[in-house]
Amino acid sequence: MEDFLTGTALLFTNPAGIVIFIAGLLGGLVFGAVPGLSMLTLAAVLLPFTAWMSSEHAIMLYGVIYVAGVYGGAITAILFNIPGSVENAPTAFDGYPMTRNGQSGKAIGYAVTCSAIGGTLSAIAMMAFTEPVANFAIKTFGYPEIFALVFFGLAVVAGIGTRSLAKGWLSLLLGLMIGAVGSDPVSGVPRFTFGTLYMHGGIHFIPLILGFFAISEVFMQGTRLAKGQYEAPIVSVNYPSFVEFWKMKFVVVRSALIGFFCGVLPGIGATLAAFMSYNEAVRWSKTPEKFGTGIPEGVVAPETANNSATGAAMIPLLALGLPGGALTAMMIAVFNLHDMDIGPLIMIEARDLVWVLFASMFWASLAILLLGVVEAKGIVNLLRIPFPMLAPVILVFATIGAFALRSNIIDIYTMFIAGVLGYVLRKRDYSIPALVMGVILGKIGEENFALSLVLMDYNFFQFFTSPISAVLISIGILTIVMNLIRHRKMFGSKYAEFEGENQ
Amino acid sequence: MGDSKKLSAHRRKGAIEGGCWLVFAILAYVYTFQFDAPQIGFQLGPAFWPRLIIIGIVIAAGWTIYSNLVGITERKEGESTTVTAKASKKVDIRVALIFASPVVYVILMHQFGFLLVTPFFLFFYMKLLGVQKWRTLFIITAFVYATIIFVFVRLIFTYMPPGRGIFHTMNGYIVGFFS
Repeated sequence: MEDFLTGTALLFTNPAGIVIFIAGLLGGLVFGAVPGLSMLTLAAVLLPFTAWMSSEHAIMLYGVIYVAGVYGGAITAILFNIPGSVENAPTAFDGYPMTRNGQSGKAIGYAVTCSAIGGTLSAIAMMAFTEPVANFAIKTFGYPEIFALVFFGLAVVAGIGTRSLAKGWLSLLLGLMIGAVGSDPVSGVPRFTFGTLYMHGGIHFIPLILGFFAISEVFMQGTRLAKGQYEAPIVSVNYPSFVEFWKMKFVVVRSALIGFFCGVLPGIGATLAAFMSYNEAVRWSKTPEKFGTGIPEGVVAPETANNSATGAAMIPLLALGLPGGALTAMMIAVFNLHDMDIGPLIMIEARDLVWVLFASMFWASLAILLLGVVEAKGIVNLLRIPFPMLAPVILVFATIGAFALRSNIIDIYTMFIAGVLGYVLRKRDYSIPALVMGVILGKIGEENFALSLVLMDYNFFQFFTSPISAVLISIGILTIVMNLIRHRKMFGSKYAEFEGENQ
Repeated sequence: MGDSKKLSAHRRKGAIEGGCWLVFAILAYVYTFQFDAPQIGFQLGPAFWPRLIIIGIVIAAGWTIYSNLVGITERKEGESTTVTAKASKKVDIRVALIFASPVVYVILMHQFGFLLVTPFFLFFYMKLLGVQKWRTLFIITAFVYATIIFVFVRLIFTYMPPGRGIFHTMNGYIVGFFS
């Protein structure tokens, strides 16, 4: 407690600290909400300037941007089906349908509150358990366990977002195929590149996500408008009531735990956290078929988890010097700019600085709640803008976002191709969540699968010798079987395929 | 068209869709031979993972074909089909333009640069989607363009597609002028 108070005092006793805190908060929110730009753009732009800041202010700024940026991406995901960053993609699965159903205020309210809860719980846990959790995660989770975790996630997601299980699996497998494009993660051999240099690095997530969500949405609504079938979303500023929040208590706690745990795993972070918690929300739900149609659990789970992962990502970063993602890698650069090496000794050598980071993330999470409550009622009014005026703006902003990534015009073409593909797949009742999940988890899964096999001397049964991977793989297989049984029961055996195709 | 005919047409469509997936899987499998060689780092080779996925696609596609051709034999009592009326076959030019104009926009952007092409695209797409008043079209286009310039060019120096030849230079002048 004393350390926390010291960290807080170092932050807020100086006017410059308060200004930097507020600037980081607003900057993270805005950049997180602009698709393609993301908090990473802001963090990268600011990196050289941190050399002129005090070490406390520099590291605090990055902690605040991280927390605010992860929340910021939820706003556009909910209102316009444009996830600000990859970890907000699952928020759009149900957040945007909630907007279409006239529940935009509630969706934003859930996102704000749960982001704040997830971030705050994670900050508290980070302060309390940094050392033991880091030791456990690093010792226990090797390649086989991470692969098993990914397998489990994929098994669950195949049943989401479509009424036809075959189409769910085809969507997922298509996503995995897209994820397999580019250099093989172990030996670097190019695959499915068609001789182009562009494809060597694989197809980047951002143009794909912008295409599958934002562009395909513009095409869907534009087509409806042209055919006279367009219905404007109903603007609602109703914030969820306490009773409605209370109903989410289990989802929040479960997602916070998942988020925290995924955040601890180096190189995975908030993205896996958001997808895994969404999957778990589906798996534990009594009405899993409603996911994707606009239910609060679909917003609460990923938003709690991705913010919960922010605090947890600090654990391997500070304890072992292992970054969980690009922004945490930049934090290492900030420490280095101030002549400090991150690693096990950081808690001894720069204890005050570490507590400044903890305190800044804690206060940023609480500030999101205050800012979000005020903002939520106002921001939903963006929906009052008529679609014919909004659509070209979405297309142009998405174009800027796709190009800003690496200044390559092919990323813009990729985005539009993904947009058309997304439109066709949505029309035919394929699952965009499963497809996106396949793309994102496929890369992580393949790398860990291959490295596991090398370690196990190519003996597949070794996956069952580690208790954690054995349990995860077994539950994954069980989930696939249960999904098959459930789909047959739910949709009246073979007739399901027919019904599913007509959504 | 009666329900049974609709169902039959629908089954045929579903089976064709499954067939398309099979063709895709076969083509992808054939392609894997181009990079199918055991590596020192990974003996199973870089084709192993994609082939696992392709096998999955074949199973799911086969399942789709089977359930459409053989499986659906009768409707349950009391259930109604949700087949919607087929859209008119007449090509809707407006719908085609909704899809085609962003592609034309990117092609023109490649040639003439983002800053020169974007205001025309904003104007055209709004008109295409039904904004009729010229004054509104001009005001919204100018406002959005000014916002883009202010945020992306002046505030955060985002690099935009610059175009080619003389247009590259012109885009450079615009950026220089505003920043």
